[in-house]
Amino acid sequence: MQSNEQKFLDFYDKNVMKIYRYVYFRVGSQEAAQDLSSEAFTKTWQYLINGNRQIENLSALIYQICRNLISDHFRYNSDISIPLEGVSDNISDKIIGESESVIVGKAEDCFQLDQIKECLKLIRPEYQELIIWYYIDDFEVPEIAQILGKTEGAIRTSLSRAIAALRDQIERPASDVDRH
Amino acid sequence: MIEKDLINKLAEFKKIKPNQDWVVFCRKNLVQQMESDKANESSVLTRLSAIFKAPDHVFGQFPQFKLFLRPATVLAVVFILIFGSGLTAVFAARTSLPGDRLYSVKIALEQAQLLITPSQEGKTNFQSGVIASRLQELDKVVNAGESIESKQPKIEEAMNNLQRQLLTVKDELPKLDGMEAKKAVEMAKKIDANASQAQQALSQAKLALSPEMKQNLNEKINEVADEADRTSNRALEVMIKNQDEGGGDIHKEILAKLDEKIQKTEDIMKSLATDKLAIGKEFSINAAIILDETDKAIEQARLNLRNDDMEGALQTIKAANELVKSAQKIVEAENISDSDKSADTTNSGKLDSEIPSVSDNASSTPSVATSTPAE
Repeated sequence: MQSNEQKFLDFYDKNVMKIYRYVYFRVGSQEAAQDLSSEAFTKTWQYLINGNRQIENLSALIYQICRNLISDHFRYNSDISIPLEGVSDNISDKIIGESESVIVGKAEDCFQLDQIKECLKLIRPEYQELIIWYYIDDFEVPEIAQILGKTEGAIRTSLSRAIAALRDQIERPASDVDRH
Repeated sequence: MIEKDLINKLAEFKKIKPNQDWVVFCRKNLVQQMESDKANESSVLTRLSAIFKAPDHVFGQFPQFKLFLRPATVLAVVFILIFGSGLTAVFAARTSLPGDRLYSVKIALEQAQLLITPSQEGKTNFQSGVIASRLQELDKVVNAGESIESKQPKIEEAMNNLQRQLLTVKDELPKLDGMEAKKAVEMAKKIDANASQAQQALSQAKLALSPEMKQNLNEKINEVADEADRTSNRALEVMIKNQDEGGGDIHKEILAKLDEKIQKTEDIMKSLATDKLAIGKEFSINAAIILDETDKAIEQARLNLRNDDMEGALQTIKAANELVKSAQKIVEAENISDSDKSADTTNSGKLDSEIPSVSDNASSTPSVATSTPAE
């Protein structure tokens, strides 16, 4: 395998989980996350070879491609209903391997996590991205600044606004929830 | 909830990982895409150097010849192939199968033909024809009288190509929204029929394979069958969206297809229960909970159908399928673990000379990941 191909495969190995998680939290469906993540890598590769380009910031490119795919996904599936994946997540991931006696406690944790996951989808996309990158995928502020082409100061400010927005969304009474 | 608690909770989401099988499949897909691109490039370069009587490496040295991968130049090169080297090579490529030397040329010709198809309807029709072509190839390589060593990689390649084509077609389906409703429904019906044919072809392929190959290829077959199911679901979404203007008996057809999918999920649940009974075991608490939820999802889907909420029914069916797949994986893992334990128990009480041959389940069933759908 030549060096460009191997470099891209190394990039895939290092980033596939992050890209998957990013898409998963944005679209809320495992199936859609798999499809869109797969397409993002394929499109990124095609973009590189068709233009015979050297890209300095591959992360920025692939996340931009992800954003476009997610926009298209919502545009073509505007009336998609929330899948039952919260239920299967709870049961299949959290309870496997646990004894019966801890299931009740785990179920409460699962409910909170599901609630956070759903509220994350309701805040602004820019805030969703920052929370996923910083708090879940452990990106550093300089990395995020490079992806978004912004200053580190602007990123820190946006981060604190993002987490506040998520907290507010979680604390909103159920009757006020405005699903898009 | 205070921010510190929220941040701690967010950290728990790091545990969410994609399904490992999908990660491996996705990588394989990328590798094949890279190899296919390289093969297209080198077959183009080989033909060009034959036509222009220059060594391959001369063209390879010039980066601008990467332009030949761009759509317009692929077309130009195909014309050069046809008129420069004669139609014989082109016809030979058209009948080639996975593993043949000219197979990559066949794929390049298909891509060229797709590029020159102007309308979305034309493209979808063409893509549908490509799926039929992939199914024929799969049938031929499965039924070829060759050794396992020679046949297995060709069958894998045929299945990967089928899977890729199903993925491509599925991703194209949203573009039907820009079409007139009746045409969109017609195209979606065609794609759904292709997906059903793919599932049937895979079941038949499974029956036609030797036990050893069936075991080696079982995971791949299931993967491709899942992709066909997802393509069918996406096609159904288009049909549901356009049913009011779709004309004809589309409403009844959709109801029948949804009912068929519910039945299929129920059948899988029943076969899991039957298999467990056959070995005199009960489901573990985990599997029992998931199957219980699957049962509720199926009930919900039937209720949606009765209320004429077809979109709701489809989403619920998709969720039920994910749940039943989780249950299948847990049950398979349990069965393997039980077989291993009983093999150990049998062996521990016997002299070496009396140890019976280990059963198929214990010795040769590939290990199944116990982790479930990624989250």
